[in-house]
Amino acid sequence: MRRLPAFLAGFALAGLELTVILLSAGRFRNPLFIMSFPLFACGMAGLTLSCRKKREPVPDDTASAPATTFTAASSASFQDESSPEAFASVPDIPAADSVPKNSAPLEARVYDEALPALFASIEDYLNKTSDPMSETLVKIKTAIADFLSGIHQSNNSFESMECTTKLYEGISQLRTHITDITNESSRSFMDISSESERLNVQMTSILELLRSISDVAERIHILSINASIESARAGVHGRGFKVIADEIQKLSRETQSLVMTIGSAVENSNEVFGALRKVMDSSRKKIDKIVSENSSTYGDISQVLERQLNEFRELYSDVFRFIGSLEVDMDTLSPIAMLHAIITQEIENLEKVTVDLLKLFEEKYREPDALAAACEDTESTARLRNRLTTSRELDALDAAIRKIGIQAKTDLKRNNTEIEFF
Amino acid sequence: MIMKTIMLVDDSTAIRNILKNALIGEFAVVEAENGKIALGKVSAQTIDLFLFDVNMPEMDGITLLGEVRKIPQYLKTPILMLTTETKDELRQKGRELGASGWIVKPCEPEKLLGAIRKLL
Repeated sequence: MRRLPAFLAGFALAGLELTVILLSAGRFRNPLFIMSFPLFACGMAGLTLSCRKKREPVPDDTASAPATTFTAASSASFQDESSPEAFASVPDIPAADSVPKNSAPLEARVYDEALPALFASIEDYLNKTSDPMSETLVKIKTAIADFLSGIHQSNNSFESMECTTKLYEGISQLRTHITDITNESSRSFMDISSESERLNVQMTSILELLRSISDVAERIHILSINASIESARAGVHGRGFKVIADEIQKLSRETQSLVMTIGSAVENSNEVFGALRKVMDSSRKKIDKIVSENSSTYGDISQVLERQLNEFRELYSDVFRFIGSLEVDMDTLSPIAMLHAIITQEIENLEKVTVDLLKLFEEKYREPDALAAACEDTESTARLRNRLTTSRELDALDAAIRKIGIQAKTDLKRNNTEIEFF
Repeated sequence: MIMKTIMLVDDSTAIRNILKNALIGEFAVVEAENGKIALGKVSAQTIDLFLFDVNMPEMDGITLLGEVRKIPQYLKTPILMLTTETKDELRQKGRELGASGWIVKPCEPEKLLGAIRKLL
């Protein structure tokens, strides 16, 4: 029966020591270290009193010492752990035989009073540190997730718009079109120029022909004048011939006039074609120049665009890398917040287990055999088990029960981490 | 990339914190302390998976399960019961009311995540 307080103290101390160790690793030393001292002192008090019960017979008149006196004395010792004399003021403990059967032992009352308050203060501290940290981490993780989602969306839009491909295609098509048009224009100008050259040659031939016609007309004119003279000499007999000579003269003059008109028109046309040919040559040269210059301009534009698009890609990949590293950082931080939450839960559970065990001890199981029977009792074990949340707690409780010499048949860890899908 | 939303209903702040820390980043999390508060929140947004504790004040997880399954929108939404209860009759009741799975605490967050990923 005396083993139970020791078990309780051991169990509680183990939990608190675990907390201190874990939180010390997380650089939250001072407050918890300070808080662990009262519990340590309380545990030591329980153990000391247990030892005293064995060693010293206790006067009967102290049997009814109020628990509050002890609690006050213990509280004094909590504030100064270097003063073990504080326990000297603790009233002597009645002998086990003199304790009324229906009242709980002093140790039980001490733990009943002290442990919940200590658990509550530790829980309060952990909640104050754990919840804000946990909330902050959740906020940061949410913000990162939102940001990452936005970047993914932006990247997807960028990729789905196919900016790069479309821009390249557009520039390439534009280049091809302009080159085709300019080349075609240049070729057309060259064709026209060559046609006009041929026309010029033809015009020159026509002018030569016209000059020949003009010579013929001139000779006919002279011939007609001579015919008129000769017809005058012939007198009356030559009158008919004179009419013919006059008509021929008139015809030759008209022919010469017509030849001059056509020649003038041909020469004018020739000049116009000459001017046109010069303009076309000049235009063609300009187009050739534009084609060669634009070719390099479009190349420059393509290069700039390609550079910018690559920079966009690099930016996205840098952002993804950055977010990835942040997520890794968050993952390394998460266990700390998780640890706080788990420890808080564990302490809460330990408190419940303590209360349960105290009740068992006080009300039902006053003998080790009876406690062993309780541990074999499925309902009691299930109740104990349902108080626990983590594997560590199950391990601690299981180990503690076995350590105090109770061979419980029921496995507390049964169904651990069981997942069943329906 | 739209994140799926999980509703986490448990009266223990510590348990909610543990699970929330495991879920956040991959899922959006909506919390509730008990079944009554959870029911008030389900119609305000679309939930893709529910995680219910069984023993809760105000309205327990089994009742909540039955109430959620009455909402046409959530007839086929996965619902996982996360509890220390191992009683077969409770498990059977959960199955009859349309729970998708029964997870016995303590459950490592990674195993829970695996179960959630399997259902989503």
